[in-house]
Amino acid sequence: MNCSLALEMFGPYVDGELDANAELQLRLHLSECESCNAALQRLQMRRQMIQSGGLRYGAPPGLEARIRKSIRTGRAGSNWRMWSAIAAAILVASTFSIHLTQHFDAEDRLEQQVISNHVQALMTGHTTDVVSTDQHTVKPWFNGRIDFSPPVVDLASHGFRLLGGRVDYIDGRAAATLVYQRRKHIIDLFIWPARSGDATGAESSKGFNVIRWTEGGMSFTAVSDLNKTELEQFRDLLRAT
Amino acid sequence: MSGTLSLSRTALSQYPPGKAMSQSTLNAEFERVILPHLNSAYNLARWLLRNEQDAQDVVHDSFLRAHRYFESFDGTDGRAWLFGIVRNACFSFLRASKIQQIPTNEDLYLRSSGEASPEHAVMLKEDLQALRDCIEALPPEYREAVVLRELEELSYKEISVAAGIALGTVMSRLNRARIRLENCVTGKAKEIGR
Repeated sequence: MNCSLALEMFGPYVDGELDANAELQLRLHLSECESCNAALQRLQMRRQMIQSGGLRYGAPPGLEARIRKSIRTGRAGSNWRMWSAIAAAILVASTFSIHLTQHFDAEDRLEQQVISNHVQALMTGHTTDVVSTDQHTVKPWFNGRIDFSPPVVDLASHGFRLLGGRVDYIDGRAAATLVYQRRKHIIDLFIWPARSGDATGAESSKGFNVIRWTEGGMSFTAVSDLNKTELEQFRDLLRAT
Repeated sequence: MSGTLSLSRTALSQYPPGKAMSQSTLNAEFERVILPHLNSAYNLARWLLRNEQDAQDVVHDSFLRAHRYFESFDGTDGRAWLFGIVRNACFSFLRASKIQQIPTNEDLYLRSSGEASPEHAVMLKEDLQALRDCIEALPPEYREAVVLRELEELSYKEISVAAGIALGTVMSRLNRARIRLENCVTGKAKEIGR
């Protein structure tokens, strides 16, 4: 492990969100890297200061009583300040929402989100919530967890082994994620009911290939560090079944 | 809770479907399940809006909204559900009132802890003030991640549900927020000569 990867992992590490294997690798690196150790200590000190610094605000006295009263009478308090602000917001939303969210548009783009989810799953070792190579186990698992039924196909005979599935939350909606393996490469296949404007096509970012398509009312997004040709083969196999 | 935001699940599953709750039962249930999270809701709103009066108004309205839509609550995690409503109201408010600049801190109450020496207490207070200023100076989306993680102690998954963002986005926002925070606090320490 190198220092830049170690730095990326400090956050999940101190937050207790790293899986045992990644944690072990990080500890190994820390045992022989002084500068990373110092950086980790600074982070932990800063966290301690934030958490113990009395920075948490409590609700002012009277607010709870006002809320209880509003609930019982079904009427709002004197919230004219806010309503006038919200009304103004509707008028100028187009201008200012762009201004405020500009900075985050790039990182929240769907491709970035699916890559983030893919990396997060690999990094924390949390790739699957249901572990099974059997499509008849994985498919029913989604029942009651999401409000649609994703197609689950076994492609082991073609060299794409089904490892299991999980539920992700992408672009404000639940997605069924199927996890496949090709040699040492993990493929995440995100599935959700198709929406108008869902993009299709292939692109690559940060060393990952992303291929998107729609089929039978569902939108599919495959993400992997597998090469583009084989990932396209994966897509073609899915479309053919 | 595993972040499975199942929209189809019947609200408040302990009640048999088809048997509607009376308004008073609903109110009592709301006060039992949602109202105890008032301090958490206020804390988030206060940090996002950086103003006491605005935070009170937005939280008040958020609870009324939560009450109105209480039957659509799936009964799993009341705090995360409430956070979702509060943060959306806060971001609407921020967009509306164009609050971008850092306001003054006249309504600031620092509670320093421990039995430190007076010099130490002053240092600690200055450090905490710098820290507070630096958190307030973060972009709202980063500030939200820091408050939910460090002050409300939500897991990545809970933050992703409350804020409606991907798990990876939670991680990257927190990472970037912490780097910015560290740089800001270090910069301020140099300013005051330490």
